[in-house]
Amino acid sequence: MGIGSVATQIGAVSQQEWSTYLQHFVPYENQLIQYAMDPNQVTQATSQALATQEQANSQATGIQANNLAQMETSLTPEEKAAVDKQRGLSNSLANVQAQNKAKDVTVANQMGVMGSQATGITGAL
Amino acid sequence: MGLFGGGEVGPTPQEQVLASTFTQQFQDYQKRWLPIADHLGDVVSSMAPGKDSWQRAEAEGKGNADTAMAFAQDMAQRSASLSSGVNAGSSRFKLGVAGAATAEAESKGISIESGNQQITSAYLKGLQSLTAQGGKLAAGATQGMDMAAQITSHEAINNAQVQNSANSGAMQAVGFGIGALGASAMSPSPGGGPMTDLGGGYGLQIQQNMAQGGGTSFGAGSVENLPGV
Repeated sequence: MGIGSVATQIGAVSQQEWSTYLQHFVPYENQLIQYAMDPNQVTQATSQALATQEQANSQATGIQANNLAQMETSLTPEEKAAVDKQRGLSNSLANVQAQNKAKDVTVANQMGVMGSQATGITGAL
Repeated sequence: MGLFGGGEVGPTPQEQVLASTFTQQFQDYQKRWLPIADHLGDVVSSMAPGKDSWQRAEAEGKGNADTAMAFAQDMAQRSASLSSGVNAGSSRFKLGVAGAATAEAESKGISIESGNQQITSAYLKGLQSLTAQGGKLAAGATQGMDMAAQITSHEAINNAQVQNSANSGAMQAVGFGIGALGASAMSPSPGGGPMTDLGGGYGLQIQQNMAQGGGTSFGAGSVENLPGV
């Protein structure tokens, strides 16, 4: 091995490592940073949770009709009004809870990412 | 090669082994582990919040199935209660059935959303895992560059030292020659004429003392003969 070739070889491999890091890993670091720093992340998560909960809530009427049919019975108009009123309150509560939980989880996720990754590449250096 | 010649210091065997191992390790990493990291990256990226991934679809399906199974048992108990004299036509019974339907629907929503949040959590853990791998690679690259710089620096210093030694050896030889010529030139002339004061310093005084027989070397004899010593 010639003069300086050891340093040159190590330097070249190190540059390849750095290029590999930039090409293969930095995009994922950026995804993580984007998630942690995006102020819209909470809004998106609560919107998603609300949509999921509302979709599930909308199935209640069908489930109820099936269950009552299995029992070979049906609701009177008065009973239906009472059930609808109760369901409206219950669904609202479920929607609020779903959004609150989504918000809490998302904020906790963001804080967790920031806490664990703050040293990140700076720490490595 | 310096002005007066001299060799250069090559890498030590340990440095050669270090370079070879360093290269092989990275080649092995590229061959075996980098494809896995790439695959993990693809899978993880597909799990990003807001994306319709198969993982989220599966979580939704599981949430639906788990809830349906749990409430199917509830319905089976209600059906069984009918045979023990419960009046299925009573408002209380019917409102109970309707309330169970509302609870089932809400539970589905909670279960699906919980699954979604678990997928997001797995997405973040995957990204953190990739970030950790990338951090190690970046640290390795930085360490490698540091090693290369240090080896280069050591080689430069060693080469400079080798050249210095060679040059100083050559200069000593040249200096000895010049010194000998100088001593010869500054010896008193055969006619006893005064010496020319070229430097006015101790060097000349030493030469004078030496010429007067005070000493034959630059050692203690010369110093003892210096004025005021």
